[in-house]
Amino acid sequence: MPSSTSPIGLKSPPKTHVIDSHAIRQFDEAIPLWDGFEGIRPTDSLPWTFPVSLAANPIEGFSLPESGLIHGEQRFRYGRVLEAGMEVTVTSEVVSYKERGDTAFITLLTQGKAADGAMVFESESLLLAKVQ
Amino acid sequence: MPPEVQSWPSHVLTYRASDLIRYAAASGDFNPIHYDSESARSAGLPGIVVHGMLNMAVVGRYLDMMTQGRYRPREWKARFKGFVQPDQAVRLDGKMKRHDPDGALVVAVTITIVGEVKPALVAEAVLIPSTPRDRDDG
Repeated sequence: MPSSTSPIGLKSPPKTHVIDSHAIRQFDEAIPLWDGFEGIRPTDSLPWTFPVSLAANPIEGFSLPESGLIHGEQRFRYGRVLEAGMEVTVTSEVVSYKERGDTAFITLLTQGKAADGAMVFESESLLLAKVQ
Repeated sequence: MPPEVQSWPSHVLTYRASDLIRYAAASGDFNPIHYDSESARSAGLPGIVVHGMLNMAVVGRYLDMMTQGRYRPREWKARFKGFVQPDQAVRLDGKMKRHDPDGALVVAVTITIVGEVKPALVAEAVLIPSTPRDRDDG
């Protein structure tokens, strides 16, 4: 991770995913339920955090450390409802980068757009990393 | 959900190490601190820890079930304030903060390790009614 040059504005090349119903089911089944509800799946809603499985390409010129990375905060905004068969193109961008002491505070904004350009989701992650 | 309901039942959940592996496979998050004790300890953790995003996924499921699938999020956020380890019981607490005139519900959920005071996760969400196309009433 650079500590002299600001990575703000660096962006990943777009990556297109076709939403796969098996991937949705696998994600859904990986969310454990609380005591007394095991095995109950009363709604057909898409798991709200499913967009995290739609990975962006790496951001050229920017890498996160493999260890000591802490996820501090996560936000999602949603537009068009995701469903199986949809094409979603995902890009990720460094929108904020600050160093305080030996810690870097990095905000990554990942956007998912439908084939016609409509916003499907925006995911904003605040990550804390040791400055190298 | 009737507007007079202010809070939902609390529920207790205990993650197993196998839950973390299943979530890693489904989400693509293979950071070894979630399945390899040695990697976790060398990162300064007491042992393997639950993915923050798995906790957030559980909160989403909790809100979805508490509102019986009748709402979906317009936007929401979670702050990860502490680590949760497998085999540690955690409690989910949720309440409705506000019912806006446009039909949106503002809700708050926390995940707290049983026996501790400060939550490991604090989430807030703005929910909007699901349209019939979003959900299956059957």
